[in-house]
Amino acid sequence: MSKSHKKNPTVKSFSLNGHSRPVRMVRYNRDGDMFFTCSDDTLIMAWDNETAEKVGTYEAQGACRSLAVSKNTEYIVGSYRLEGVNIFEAMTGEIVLHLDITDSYKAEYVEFSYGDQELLILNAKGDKSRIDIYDFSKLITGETKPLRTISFDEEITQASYGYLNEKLYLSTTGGKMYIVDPESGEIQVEAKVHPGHTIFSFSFSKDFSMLASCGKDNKCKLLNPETLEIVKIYDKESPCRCCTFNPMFDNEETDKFHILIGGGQDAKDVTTTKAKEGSFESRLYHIIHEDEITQITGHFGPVHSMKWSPDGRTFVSTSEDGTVRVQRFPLEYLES
Amino acid sequence: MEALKELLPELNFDEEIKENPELEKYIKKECNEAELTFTDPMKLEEAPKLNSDFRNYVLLCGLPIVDEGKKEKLLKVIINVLKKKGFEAIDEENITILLKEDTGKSYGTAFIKCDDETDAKLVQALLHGFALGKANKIQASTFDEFDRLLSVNDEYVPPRFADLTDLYSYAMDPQNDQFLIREENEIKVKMNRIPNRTDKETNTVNFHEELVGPNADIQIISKKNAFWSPQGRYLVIFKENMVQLYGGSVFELVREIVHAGVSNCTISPCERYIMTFTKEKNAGQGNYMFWRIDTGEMLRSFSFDDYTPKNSPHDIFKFSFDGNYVAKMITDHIAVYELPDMQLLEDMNIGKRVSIRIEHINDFKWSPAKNMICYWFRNPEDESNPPKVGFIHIPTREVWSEREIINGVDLITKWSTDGSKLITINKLKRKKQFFNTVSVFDVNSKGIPAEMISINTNILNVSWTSATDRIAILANREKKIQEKWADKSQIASTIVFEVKQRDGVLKSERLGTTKEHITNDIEWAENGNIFIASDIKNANPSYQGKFYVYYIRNVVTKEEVKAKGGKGKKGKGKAGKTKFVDKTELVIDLVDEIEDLKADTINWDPTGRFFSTSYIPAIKSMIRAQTTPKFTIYNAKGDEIYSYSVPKLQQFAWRPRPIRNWSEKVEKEFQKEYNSKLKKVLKAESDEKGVIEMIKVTKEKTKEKFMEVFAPFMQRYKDTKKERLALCPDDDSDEEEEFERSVIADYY
Repeated sequence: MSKSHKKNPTVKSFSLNGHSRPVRMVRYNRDGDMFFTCSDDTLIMAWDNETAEKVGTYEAQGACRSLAVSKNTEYIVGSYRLEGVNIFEAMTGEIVLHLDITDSYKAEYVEFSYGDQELLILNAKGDKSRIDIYDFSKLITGETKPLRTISFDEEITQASYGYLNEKLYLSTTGGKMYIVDPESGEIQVEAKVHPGHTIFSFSFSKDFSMLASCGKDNKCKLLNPETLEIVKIYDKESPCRCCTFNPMFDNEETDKFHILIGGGQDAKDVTTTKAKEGSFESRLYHIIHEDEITQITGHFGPVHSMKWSPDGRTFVSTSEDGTVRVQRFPLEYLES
Repeated sequence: MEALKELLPELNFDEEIKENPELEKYIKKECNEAELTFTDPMKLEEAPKLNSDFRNYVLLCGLPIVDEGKKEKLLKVIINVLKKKGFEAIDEENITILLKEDTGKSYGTAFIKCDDETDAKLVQALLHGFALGKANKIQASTFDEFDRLLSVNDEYVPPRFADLTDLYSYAMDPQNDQFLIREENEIKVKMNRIPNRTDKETNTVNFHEELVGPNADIQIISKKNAFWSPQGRYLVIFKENMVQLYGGSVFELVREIVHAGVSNCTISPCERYIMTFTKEKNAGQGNYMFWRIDTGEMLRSFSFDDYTPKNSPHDIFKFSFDGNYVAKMITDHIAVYELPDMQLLEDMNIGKRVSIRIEHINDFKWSPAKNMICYWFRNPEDESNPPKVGFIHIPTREVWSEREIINGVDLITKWSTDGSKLITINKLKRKKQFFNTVSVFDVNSKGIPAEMISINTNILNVSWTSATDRIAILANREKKIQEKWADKSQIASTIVFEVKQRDGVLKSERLGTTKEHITNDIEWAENGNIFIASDIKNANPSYQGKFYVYYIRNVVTKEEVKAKGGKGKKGKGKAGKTKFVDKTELVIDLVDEIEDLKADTINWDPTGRFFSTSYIPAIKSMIRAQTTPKFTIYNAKGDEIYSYSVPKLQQFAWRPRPIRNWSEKVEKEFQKEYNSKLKKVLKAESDEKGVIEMIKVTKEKTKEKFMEVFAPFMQRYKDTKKERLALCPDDDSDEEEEFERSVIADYY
C-alpha cells in the first residue's frame, strides 16, 4: 500500500467471486442499475449495482471475450472467441440467436451503436481484421447478413462508434489509432499513438469529448477525438489495459476531472513476480494536471476492464485473477 | 415674482392689471427687483418670537372625554382636586381643554399653565395617578418630561458593555503606543506609530491616526480630565455623578459607576477595583467608595469621620501591587483592608481584626512588587531618637527590618519601579549643621542590606533606574545645606552612581558628573543608559523648557602602551615598540539640548523609546492667553517627531502598558525562543504562500489550455441534443435525477 493511498479516504470495496477464470469485460446497462461481466469460463453474469448481488448467469459455449448490452437491458450480446456471437434475452437468459464464426475469424469484440440500431462485431485473424455491422432489429428476427463489412490488414483490438455514430474509431496492436468512415470504411485520420506497442483498449467520456487510449508502453494517453493528437499522458509504470472517466467530470461544483486507469503486468509474467511488483493497482489521475490522486489495490492479476457507474459513485474492475471488484467511493470523495 | 408670491400669498395685482393692462410690465419689473432684497419678515431679527418655553406647563392625559357642555364641569373638578390637595393658584383660565373641530368632543387631555417651573412640578406630582371615577386615571407630566418620553424608544435597550475579552488589544501591538489628549470636551486617543521601511517608501500611512475623536468612528466626550488605568486597560472618564470606564479595541463602555458628585478616583494596580471619591456629602453615599470593576458591585464606602477628617485628599487609600489589600494611614496606625471583603486585616496572633500600630508614623508606601509596606516614623518631640525606616510584610505583619537613620531629621522615600530597591533621601543634623545622604535598600536580598551615599551639597532630585542599577542625584553647588528640601530650579549638576550588590553587601561606585545646568528634575529612560535633566515646574518662567539628554555609554579607546624595551642584542626594533590596548571607559555625554519654550512636564512613553514634553497651563491662568498649549514627542535621541498645538488643548497622557510579571532573565529567554520560532513560522508561511499561489496560477493556466482543446467537444454534446434524441429516442441521460444528499448518506 503506497503512502498516497493512506492519506486519501479509503475506498470501500467488495470482491465478487462468481467467475472461475479471467474476467474479460464489464459493462453497465444504460440505467446504471446493473452491470454485466464476461469471463473465459464461458459465463456472462448479471449483477445488481446497488447490492453487488449476482442476479443471473448467461450460459453458452466457449470463452467470452466481450459483451454488449442493448438499451432497456433487453438483450445481451456476447462474443465468444472461438464459437461466435450469442444474443441472449436478458430476462430469461435464453439464446435468441447464434452467429457462427466465418473464415476462421475470431470474434473479439462487440458493441452497439448509439441508439442500438446497429451492432458491431470485430473479427480478427492473425494480422487481418474484419468489422461486421448488422442492423440489430433485423438481426434478431433472423436476418444474419451484415449491413456492411470493413476489412483491414492489421490486427485491430477495439472498434467503437464515435459521437452520433458519425465515425468509427479503431485501435491496433501496432499502437496506431484510426478514424474511419463507418459507411465506406475510408480512413480519415491516422495517428501513431503508442508506437510499437499494443493498444489494449480505448474509451470515451460520456459526452464523447475526451478519448483515452491505453497502451502496453505503460502509458495512458488522452487524445483529441477529432485529430487524435496527444493532449495528456498518464504514466502508470505498468502496462495500461483499461481506463474509465469519471462521469461527473462536467459538474462545475465538484470539478472531478478524474480518470481511472487499470492494468498491470502481462498475464504470462504474473507467476514469475510478486503481486506487488505486478502493479495491479488501479490509479486515479487528475485529467488536467496529470497528478496521481490515489491508488486502489485489491486485484492480484492484471485488470482487464473497468467501468465507472453512470452515477459516479462506484466503479467495477475485472481481472485476470477471476474476481470482479466493486469499489465504492467514500462520501468525502463525492462531495469534496 | 413667483418667489415673492410664495412668501406673500395675499399679494395680488390681478384687478389692477385688469383695469389698466399697461401696468403689468411695470408691476412685474418692480416685483422682480423687490424679490432680490425682500426677506421673510418672520426671519428678521426684530420679528416677534414665539415663546417656546413650556417649562411651566403641565399636560394631563386620561381625562374623561367631554363636549362643550360638560367642559366647564370637568374644569371645576380639576380645580377642586387641586384645592383639596392644598394648591389654590390655578383657576379656570389657566386650564385649556381642546375640542375636536369635527365632533366637538375633547381628546381626553388638558393643559395647565402654572406660574413657574416649580409650581408645574408640584401640580404634576399632585395630579399624577389621581383617579377620576373608575374609568379615568389622570396621568400628568410636565412638558419637558413629555418631550423626553416621546423621544424614548418603545423597546428597552439595556446599556451595552464591552466584551471583556479584548481589553488587552492595545498591548498586542508591541511597536506602537497610544496617547490621550483632551481638547475642551473632546477626548482624543491617537497612535504614535513608528514608521518602518515600507511606510517610509509609500509615505501614505497616517502615523498619528486618531482612534477616538471627532475624526474617528468613536467619540467620547468629557468635561474633566480623563485618565488611564495603571496598566492602560481602561480609559476613565468623569461624567456628572458617574465614572465611565472604556476599553477594548473599539473603546466600548465597559463599566459605569454611579457616585453622586464624584470628583476623583483610584484604580488598583491590578485593575480589578476602583475607589471613587467625592468631597460632597450625600445621603446614603460615602465619600470614599470601593467597587469591583468586573461586576460593578459596591464593596464598601467610607465617610469623613474622626480618622479621616474633612478635606482629606482622595489618595489616602493606597492599593497594594496585586490589589489584594488597600491601606490607609491614620494617627499612629496603618489600617490594612482585605479586598474584596473590605474587612480589616486579621491579626493572627490575637485573632482580632485590628490595624497595625506604628507610633509616630510619618509616611508609608506599598512595595510595587510585593505585599510589603515600607514606612518611616519619628517622634518629633524627642530629638535624640532618630527616624526609622521599617519594612512590614502583609498579611503576616512580620517586621522584616527596621533601620535607624542616624542623626536624621527628615526623609523622602521612593520605590524603584520594579520594587527591588527602596531609596530614601535623608536630611541629617549634626552640631547644628545639616547633611544630605541618599540610602539605597536592597529589599530582595536577605537582611535588606543598605548603602549610604553622602552628598555635600543640596539635593534637588534623585532618580533610580532598575535596568542598570544606577542612581542619578541632582545636586547644586552650594556648600551650605538648607534645612528644607529645595524645590526651585538651581544651577546643578547630576552625579551618577552605580549601586551593585556583591556578597550580600551593597556598594556604590561613582560613574561621573555632568555639566551644570539650571535644572530641578531628572528622569531615566527605561533602558537605564539615558537620562534627561530638565527644569520643569519652575517658578522662573524664563528658564523653563530646557531639556538636557545624556547618554551613558562605553567608549573604547586604544591606549598606547610602551613595551618594556629589552636590552636585546639585536633588539633595536623590539625595544620601545608600542602596543595598543583596548580600554573601555564609561562616558556621560550630553547628546542633545532641547529648547521647548515653557514646556513644564516630561513624560516617557511606556516603552521608554520616546518622551514627550508638554505645556498645558490651567484653564484660568493668565499664561494660557499668551501662549497656545502644546505637546511635542521626541525620540530618545532628542529628535522631534511630532508636535501638536491647539488653543483648546487641556491634557496629554501616554497610555500605560501592562506590567511585566516575569523577571528579565525569563523574558530574554522567551524573547529568544519567540524570535527564532517566529522566523521559522514566517519563513515557512511565506514560502508556502508563494508556492501555493504559484501552483494555483499554473493550475489555472493548464486548465485553460486544456479546456481550449476539449470545450468545443463538450459544447457540441450540449448543442446537439436533438440529433442524439433522433438516434436514441428514449435517451434520458440529461435529465438525470439529482441525488439527494440524505439518500447518498443512507446509501453508505
